[in-house]
Amino acid sequence: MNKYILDGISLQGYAHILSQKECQDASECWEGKGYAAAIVSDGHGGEKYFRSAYGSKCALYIGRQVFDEFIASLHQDKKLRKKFASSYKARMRILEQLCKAIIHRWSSAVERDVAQYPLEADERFLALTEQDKREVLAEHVKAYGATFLAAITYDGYIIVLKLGDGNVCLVREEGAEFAEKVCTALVDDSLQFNLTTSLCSRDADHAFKYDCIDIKEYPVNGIVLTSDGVLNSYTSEEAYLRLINNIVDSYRDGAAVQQKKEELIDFLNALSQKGSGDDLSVALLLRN
Amino acid sequence: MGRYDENINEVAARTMALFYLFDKSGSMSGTKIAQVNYAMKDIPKIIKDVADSAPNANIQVAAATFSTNVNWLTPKPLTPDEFIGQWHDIHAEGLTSLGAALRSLNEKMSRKGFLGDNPMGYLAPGIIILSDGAPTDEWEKPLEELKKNNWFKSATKVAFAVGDDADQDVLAKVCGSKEAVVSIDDPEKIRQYIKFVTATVSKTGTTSSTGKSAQEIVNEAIKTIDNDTPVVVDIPDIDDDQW
Repeated sequence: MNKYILDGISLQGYAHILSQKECQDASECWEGKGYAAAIVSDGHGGEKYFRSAYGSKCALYIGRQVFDEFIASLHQDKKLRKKFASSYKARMRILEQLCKAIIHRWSSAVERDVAQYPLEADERFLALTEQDKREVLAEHVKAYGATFLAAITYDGYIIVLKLGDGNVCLVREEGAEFAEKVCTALVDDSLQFNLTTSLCSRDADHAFKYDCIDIKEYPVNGIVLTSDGVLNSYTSEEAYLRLINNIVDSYRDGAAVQQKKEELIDFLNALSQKGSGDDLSVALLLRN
Repeated sequence: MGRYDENINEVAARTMALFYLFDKSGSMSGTKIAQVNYAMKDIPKIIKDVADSAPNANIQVAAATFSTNVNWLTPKPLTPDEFIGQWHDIHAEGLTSLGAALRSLNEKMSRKGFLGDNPMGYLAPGIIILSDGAPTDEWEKPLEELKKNNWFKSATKVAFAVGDDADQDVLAKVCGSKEAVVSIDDPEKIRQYIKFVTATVSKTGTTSSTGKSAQEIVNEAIKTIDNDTPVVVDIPDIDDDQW
């Protein structure tokens, strides 16, 4: 039996189907060497962010690369491993560097894309207002703007990284709860009233929130990440958490993951149509 | 669907409340008040078009006039369809009690007032104020109180200063910046400006944005208004030929 039940779904939102825009969300879950991880990235929808679908996919690729290297370093570097295990404060210092690495590599990756496919030659760029053109040319990464939500389970710890809107839920015996309930370092007052921080923000390294849970002290059986379109379909957090619990129960009930996935995709399509209209992503990582 | 039936039944859209405060003091008589009445007949259609492009967001409208007294024309925030039936042409008379209007707005922007029926479901509100004069009552204390209101703090605010007698400084203080005040020299343009700002505020307030606040985005849109050219409302099927 696998150690984890893993699944990641991203689908085109109803509003994007109507406007014939591509899905700008991306998600992935995987089990690496000595760890498991989930990432959800939500590309921004405004006209200015016309390459955000690539930006979100790039966030997954970079995230996976950085996590692989990070965990490999922990395995290989005894000193680093010892430091990580030594205290919460030490872990937080290491995670700060992890977040900076993600931003740096993502920015470098999108700049390489710009070099290969110049913005000025993109018809979506040509359709922008003059002011938006100036802004995008001044900061190329804007065109690729996306959020970054991730969770990693490693050696009795759960690491949560969060830049932008979207939600991270911890799955516990008593049910799902928002990660912010225990991971107070994730609380981000700037995420209000449709405003989000982003990989493309100038202050992305300061805006990145991260925290680490020792599951011996705070038992957690799994993690569910969702893009903001899921919570935004509900007017109460309770209704949203009921959905998360239902998703977890569904995946845990023993039937094939593919069947559960299809059922969830059908639901998410209906949710987007009736609810937020947004692209929707769900990524889950449940201990078997 | 089966398993998720209950979860789909619980889906509900969030609501953006759009507040209008119209000065209907005596000096507003004639073209100015006629343009306001004319504009407000178009508003439900504009709002419906904006709401259609944001399936998760409802937009509701609340409107008040202020002169010697403050009078709410809507008993609560109304849907565009409800608003069509509720709007009655307003007539100019009396003083410019902006302070009373701000006090009343503070009362209505609360869960006990207009924002209580949809707990957790409200987006940041929009506030559009129009005035052609200086306040005739004490307005600073009511504004100080209003600025403590979290709904007001998060709201996108725009004011129209109509004509030379409008006190732009006061309106800038209410909105938080001079950039949020639109100066209208030609009363014939009031209707178009109201439509443009309504579309911009409601569209911005119901769409996710990054880096910039809704207020900043709206202020930038206002900057693009050129007094010598027609304002184009970026919503299909709105008749702008009557400029």
